[in-house]
Amino acid sequence: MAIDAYATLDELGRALRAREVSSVELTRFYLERLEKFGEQLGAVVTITRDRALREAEAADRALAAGNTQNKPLLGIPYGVKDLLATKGAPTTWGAEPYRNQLLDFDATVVERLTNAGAVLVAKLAMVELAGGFGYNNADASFTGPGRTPWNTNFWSGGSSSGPGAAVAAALVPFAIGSETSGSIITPAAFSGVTGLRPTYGAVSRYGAMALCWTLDKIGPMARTAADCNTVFGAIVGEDERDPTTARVFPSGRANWVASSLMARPANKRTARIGLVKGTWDRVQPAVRANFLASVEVLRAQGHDVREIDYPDLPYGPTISLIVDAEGASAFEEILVDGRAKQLRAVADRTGGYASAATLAIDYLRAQRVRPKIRQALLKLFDEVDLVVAPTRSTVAYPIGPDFSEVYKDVRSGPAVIASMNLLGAPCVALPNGFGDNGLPTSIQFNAAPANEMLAVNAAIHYQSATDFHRKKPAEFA
Amino acid sequence: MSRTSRREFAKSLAVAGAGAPLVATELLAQAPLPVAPPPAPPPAAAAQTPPSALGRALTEVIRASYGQHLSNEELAKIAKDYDEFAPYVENFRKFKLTNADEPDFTFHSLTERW
Repeated sequence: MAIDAYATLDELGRALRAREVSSVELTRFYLERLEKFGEQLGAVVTITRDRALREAEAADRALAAGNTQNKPLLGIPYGVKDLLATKGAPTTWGAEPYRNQLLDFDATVVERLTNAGAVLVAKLAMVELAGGFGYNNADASFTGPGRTPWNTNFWSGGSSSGPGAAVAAALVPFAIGSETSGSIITPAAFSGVTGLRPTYGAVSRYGAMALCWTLDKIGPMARTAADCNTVFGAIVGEDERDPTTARVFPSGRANWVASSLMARPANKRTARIGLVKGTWDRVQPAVRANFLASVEVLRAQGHDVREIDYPDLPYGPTISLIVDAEGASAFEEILVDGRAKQLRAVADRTGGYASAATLAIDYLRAQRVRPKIRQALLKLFDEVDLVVAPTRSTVAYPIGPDFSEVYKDVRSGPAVIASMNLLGAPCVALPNGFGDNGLPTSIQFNAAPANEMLAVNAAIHYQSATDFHRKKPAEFA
Repeated sequence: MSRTSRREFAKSLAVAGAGAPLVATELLAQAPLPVAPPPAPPPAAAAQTPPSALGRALTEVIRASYGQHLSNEELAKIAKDYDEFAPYVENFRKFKLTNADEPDFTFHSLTERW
């Protein structure tokens, strides 16, 4: 059987269960693509060939024995952002000071994917320290800048730069990223893939690099919202090793709704959708046009679409002070011993030192303002099910100039990304067209905490009416 | 995502005027202006202005703690970054809170064991 590198997880799973392809064949296929394209895209840190083939052989044995119940990921390869600990491979956090770090255990997320029968093929590139020290340029990882496969002169987004590029170029069928404030949905947007940022506490962070204890989330990036939902079903749930995981998310696939079930037309649920005023007025023209076209799709699907005023609160300073203080504390060791100076991005070499002098009273003020933000945003979710906006106001940034030097005429409006991260709310970002330089644009669906299903459901049905998620970058088709 | 680029962000706001920022990092690229944004000096003027007393004091804290890893030029950049961000922090400090407003985390003396 000819393997379609861009097949969805559902399609790959059916082919595996029908024995049209073996997991070993599938794994070798993606290993070849990783080796062929990974470096060109700045997407890969370590290819885990030996482990992958061992896991693929085990998956083939399970498939042969018919042990496939509730295992939609059985035999399917994947990659993880290189901030998740994995036994037998370095875990570099994208940063020179940790380039040779060995953490000899699997993060909970990796452990759960292993138990689900998925096959780890690669540790994927990321912005150093997940961007915690203030990078202002795409070249902010010891592996170099991540490149979007749609136009390799442009960035794949950060800080999950490798997962974005690798999924977009079909080097892996899905990947795991992380987000403190935008690090899943930005690379999803710039790379033209679908990303799911879960509710804070839905997915265990045990074994994941900490940047910001009160903001970090782990989530899937894949071709479709249905794929993200499938992966989320495998990794969600409480974990005694991460006390922030919430019991509102029981572990185990059986507790989750299968993507195939959600995708049925009869199970389409219409939602009250709030479009955040001011988020599409002064963005790039293609971002605006694609967003408005997406809105028409949502209206045609029967959703109750309305415009909403966004609460005017100090989201930016609040999240900045929290990341400053927690990030400086999380990486104090490399500030003290001076290894912070080994970081790739110039801004990162001093940024952490400045953050280290954040005043305690300012950090606590930020954490005291945060409940006000939560109250205001939860009130918003009394009125609408989904808060919707363009994911980014522009297409991907070019590689080379500092971010602050490009797209100077664009305004993005209310701080949806920062505010929803402060709330700990789930979000699905999905491609909705193309803009300047052939680069993808994206739309974000945010739901109230623990309401992933609402966002995923709307995204699945949006993708049933559009085909942007099916487009393939020509150079990597 | 650190102070440095948040000060870059503040600088970009100064250029942009009212409304949302230009680009800085994914963290703050969509951040709005703080309530009643204070005026910020133009970049050229800011570059020539000596650090504020607070900027100098905080930079001295950094020098005392980590100075062996930082050149004078880097310390000067940190001081300048502080001053560019300071108006936004000052404005943030005006957000009304009462004694009853607790931080968004809670200490538990009794921990439920699994």
